[in-house]
Amino acid sequence: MGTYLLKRFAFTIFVAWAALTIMFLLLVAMPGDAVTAKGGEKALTAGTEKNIRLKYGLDKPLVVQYGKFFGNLVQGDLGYSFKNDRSVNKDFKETFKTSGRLLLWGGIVQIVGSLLLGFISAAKKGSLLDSTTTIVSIGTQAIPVFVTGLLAQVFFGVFPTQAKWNWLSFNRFWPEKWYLGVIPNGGWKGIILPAIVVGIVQMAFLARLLRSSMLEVLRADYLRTAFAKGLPRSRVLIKHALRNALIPYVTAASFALVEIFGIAVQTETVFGLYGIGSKIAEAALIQDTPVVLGLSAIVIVTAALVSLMVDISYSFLDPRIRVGEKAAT
Amino acid sequence: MRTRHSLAIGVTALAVLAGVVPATAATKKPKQVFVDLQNFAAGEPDHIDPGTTSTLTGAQVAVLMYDSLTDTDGTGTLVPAAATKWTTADNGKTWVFTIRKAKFSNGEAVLPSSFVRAWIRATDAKLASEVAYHSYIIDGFQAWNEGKGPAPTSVVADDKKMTLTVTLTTPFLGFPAIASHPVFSPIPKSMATADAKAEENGLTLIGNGPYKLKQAISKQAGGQVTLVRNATYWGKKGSLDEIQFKITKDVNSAYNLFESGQGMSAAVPAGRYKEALAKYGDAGLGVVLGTDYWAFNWEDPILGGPKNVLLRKAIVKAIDKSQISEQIYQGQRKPTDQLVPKGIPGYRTGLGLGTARNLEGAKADFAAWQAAGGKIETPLRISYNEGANWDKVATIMVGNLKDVGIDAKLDPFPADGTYFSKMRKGGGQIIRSGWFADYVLYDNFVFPLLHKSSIDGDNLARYNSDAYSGLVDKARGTADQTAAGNTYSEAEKLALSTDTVIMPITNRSNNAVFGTNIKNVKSTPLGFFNYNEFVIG
Repeated sequence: MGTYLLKRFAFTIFVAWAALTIMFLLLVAMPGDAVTAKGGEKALTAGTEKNIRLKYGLDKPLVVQYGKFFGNLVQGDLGYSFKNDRSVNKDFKETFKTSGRLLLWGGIVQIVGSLLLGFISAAKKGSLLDSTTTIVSIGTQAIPVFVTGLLAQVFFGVFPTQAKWNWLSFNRFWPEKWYLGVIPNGGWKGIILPAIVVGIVQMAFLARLLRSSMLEVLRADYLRTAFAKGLPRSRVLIKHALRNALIPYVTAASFALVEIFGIAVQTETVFGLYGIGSKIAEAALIQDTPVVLGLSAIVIVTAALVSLMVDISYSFLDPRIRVGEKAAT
Repeated sequence: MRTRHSLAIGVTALAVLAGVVPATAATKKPKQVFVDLQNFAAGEPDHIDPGTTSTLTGAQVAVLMYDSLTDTDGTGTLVPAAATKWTTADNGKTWVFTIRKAKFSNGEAVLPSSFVRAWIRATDAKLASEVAYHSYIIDGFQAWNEGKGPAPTSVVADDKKMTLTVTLTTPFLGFPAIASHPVFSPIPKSMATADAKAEENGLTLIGNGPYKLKQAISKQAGGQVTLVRNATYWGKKGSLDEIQFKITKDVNSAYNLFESGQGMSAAVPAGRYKEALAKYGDAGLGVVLGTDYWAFNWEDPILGGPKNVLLRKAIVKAIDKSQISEQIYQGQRKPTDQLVPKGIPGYRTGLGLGTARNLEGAKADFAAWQAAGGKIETPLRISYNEGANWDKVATIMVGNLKDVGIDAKLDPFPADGTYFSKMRKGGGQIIRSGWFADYVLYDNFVFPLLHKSSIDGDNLARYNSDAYSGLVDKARGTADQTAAGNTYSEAEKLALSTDTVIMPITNRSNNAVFGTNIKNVKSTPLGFFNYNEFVIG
């Protein structure tokens, strides 16, 4: 186990190094550089260009720049933005919090909403709610998040405000203060629309999946027997049908939770929130290398460590799996 | 006890009603806090430090925190700011500014030496400021900024007489206008060695303007820059107690927040100008000193040089500027045929080929060019950087040119600075560009955009005309401002009508709306809003 962990840790470091090196090379291969990206309608003078290159070490050979980046990285210094000299360490702290909170609340919407909708749709098959869930499911997956976000802002922000129905207006600033890091301390309305937009795409899909799964289980002989025995409907639905239908749901939900990372990046943009993903995307456009590499380094290392922890957890969850052992031939 | 308390309230109320005690003493006036969603609607600022900010949005905050030597009022007139007066005894080579007695927000006196300190810092190569070049006109500052000379001594401070003497490289009567730029603001002693990271470290930025930073700033979208009134300000105190510049990253979502009652101003998203105008009025939508134009590459074998002037004239006459104005900007940006906009001293009309489309003229010019041996073998490239609807403008142009028989195609580039760096090296044929004035000077348009010494810089047309450059040089050295204006206009006419090296399309305008309860909103021709005079109704 110890050897395995050491090997996996070394492999994680290697993956992070390789990924960052590839990203560094890709950024270098892009046309222009951070200095040319700074120039707009007003040109930088030759003197200014030179000063900027000197300031950020862009006058040095690529090998030196590469070495300096990794040297600073191992000391925990992610560098400073070429755009506005902001500390990338500071950027990380703020973007990580925003992304984490958005994903948490989006995930809650996704799971709680899909369980409720899926269960009720199956229990009330053919009802208005059932039909609505189907339409919402198709709609939310077909409509881009940018559009969903803007529509949410208009229907649950602009229109109610203009009609003076403030109780229905949820388009608010993202909360500034939080309890325990994740519960809004005032301004809770500000998380509702972004969380729903993040969660709703996969929520509708998962609800449909749960519904199908439950309906299939409900057709099983043992459930017909349960009904025939006169067991209360709610008990049959919850204790027998839902529990068995949850097995495929849990598998799909774990994948869906990963997919909302991508949805969150778009949601952050449409709601003007700076999370890690949207920050990296924006920085890449202006070749802000320290921001792209610094934030990506954290994401890559985190992902690799999570993967390692998942592998290790298998051995605890399922004793038949022994981490590090070769498969029997 | 209870009786005594009630008695006190009753006496106070009676006193207020009788006018004995001012109402404010009894009923506290609500705090005037302005929540802004327009300035940073499209993302984080680069800097708000006057020595480093290179964007209009960053400079908007800087001008509230710092008074430069001079200022521009709502009519474009140069007015005193940190300097009370300025004189020159040698036709603009040496300037003497008399500095106003004032204080920084930390109580330190604003002295002539505060300006020397600030200018040396802003041009220090280590700061790598993108706006250092504004100081290049002062003797020795370019060499200092480029690391080729010592810290200049051409700016002399006399803290007893409160004078600042500035020696330029060459006589220039427009220098007081240049001195209105934020980079010419003073800084206190504590900022003398502040680097570009200083902004992040709390209250390092200390200014002499009507507002000051309230707290450590976050330039992160989702954060805000908060200013509060500077009690030590020499002039009229700011009308607002606090200004919160919210930082968002999407114009549409910021506008929706504004319409959801979360802010008091917003930038208008594309295509919503008329709706915004009808709802909120035009206070934030005024014309500013800026022009959208397309440059013709003077070195291009098909399109450039004196021999292809008829083709360029045909293109200019073929383009329907009204169509672009209406379809793309809903009439907000008005068609123009001149580079230098109205509002610049010396401005006059009749320098271009006309604002209205002249299809017959275009066909005639094109036919004459072809008759002289001109031939378009591959479609002309209309180059632009993506974003801001330039693709739509270019598409209209392609259609307009087709009506004349001129074959053209779109040549898009990514929305980053690489577009301009390629165009500056002659990489385009018909090149999208535009310009906002840095100061209210004719020279600020005609010199950087078309003078031969600006080739590889902002002269995207790579226009290399001795006649034109000679006229601009002559105007720069002319003491009589009317005569200088005439010479500048003559140069502009040469470039637009005779050589037809650029094609102005529309004038630029501000793009903000303010809540209907916000009164006294005005902007300068340079695009800055007078937040310090806003009144929340």
